[in-house]
Amino acid sequence: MKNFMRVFAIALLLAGVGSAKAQAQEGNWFWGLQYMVTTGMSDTKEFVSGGISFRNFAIEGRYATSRNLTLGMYFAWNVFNHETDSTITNFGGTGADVSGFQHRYVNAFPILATAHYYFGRPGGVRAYAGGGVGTYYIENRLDIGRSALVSDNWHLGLAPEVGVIIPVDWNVRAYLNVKYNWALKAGGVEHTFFGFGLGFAWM
Amino acid sequence: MIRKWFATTPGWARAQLLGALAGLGLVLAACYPGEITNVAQTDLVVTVHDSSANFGAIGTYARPDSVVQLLKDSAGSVDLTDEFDSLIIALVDTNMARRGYTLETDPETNGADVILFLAKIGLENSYYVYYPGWCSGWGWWGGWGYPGWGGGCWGWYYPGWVGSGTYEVGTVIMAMMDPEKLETVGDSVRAAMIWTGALSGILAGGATENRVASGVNQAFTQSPYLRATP
Repeated sequence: MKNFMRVFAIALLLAGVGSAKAQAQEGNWFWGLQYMVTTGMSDTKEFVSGGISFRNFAIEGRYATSRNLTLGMYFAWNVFNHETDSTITNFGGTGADVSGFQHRYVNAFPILATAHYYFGRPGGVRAYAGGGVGTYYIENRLDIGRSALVSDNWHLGLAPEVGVIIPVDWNVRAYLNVKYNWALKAGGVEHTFFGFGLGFAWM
Repeated sequence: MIRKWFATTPGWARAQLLGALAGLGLVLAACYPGEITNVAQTDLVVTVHDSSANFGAIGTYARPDSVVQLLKDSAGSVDLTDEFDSLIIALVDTNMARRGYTLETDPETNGADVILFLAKIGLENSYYVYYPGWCSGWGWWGGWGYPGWGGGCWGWYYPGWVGSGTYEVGTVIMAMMDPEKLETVGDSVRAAMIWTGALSGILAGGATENRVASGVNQAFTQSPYLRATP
């Protein structure tokens, strides 16, 4: 987990450096910072309920290969947490049923290569569709009593996405999107969650 | 409005906004944002049962009239209060009665289908299986001479209730044994444990009647198979 925090911080710094450089290379790069709200589905929902998570953050870079197409990278940090006192049957595969106050966490770190196609004319409001393919590092943690049960896995995954980009300044864009994150089964767990994002991008 | 703000704001101010947004995002996304706010939130109730046991066929149970503290003379063991013993016993009897089981008050004469042991541990334990001699571990046993038990010393073991195998100081254990179901462990023979309820750390600092009652009741609530067939 700590290593990922370092990687995330370094990526954030690089995005800042790239942003300054990109402003000199007008139109080629799109550097975005985004805040999201997410809601879990499937195993994610089962573990941390289906509530809304307000703890999500992403950075990304997109390189325009043509007027309508970008290729890039996407890094995010999605945190789901849930408090419950429900009973867990067959706790950790031990056959024991356990109840008590619990904090449950899912920390997901998508690392995706992305491609997006844009509609409309450059400089105007543009809708886009695309997505990412790559890997998700996901840690599941259950704190109960004075103990913690932790499992972490690398998942292959993909994330289709649609959104809209709105010009704010000559080199600044606001963008809204909906992203479906699908981390394929690893370690017996499959995570899926929807993200609704609002971000700013520097071009 | 956003466009106007960007048009009139210098670059360094925009950079500060960017930094603030990034910082806010990182703070919001803290890995483990939850926290424990009171000691009762650390209470843990664990139950384990033998899935092959026929709990519906049980009609009567016998139990000691005290909650025995195990390993009392072991290094590091803490003396636990007896303040809640009668409450624990009363709650166990109430829950067993609600499930159709009858307390046998004279097992020496009449026998009982199962024995329900009530114990507490004042020692933080890093192992989870323990086989003290039955006679030495349970002073109350004495010469009960329970029919059908064959006499001698029976093995007692702590339930291996979770993978970590750690008991917190002040854990209460309720253990149901079937005297007709024998297991051989090493050189000893003991009655098989068919149900165990453990209330982890509940008699440690800050114990209250509410916490103890909540724990005992929860152990039965999460064991719906404990029910006599009418």
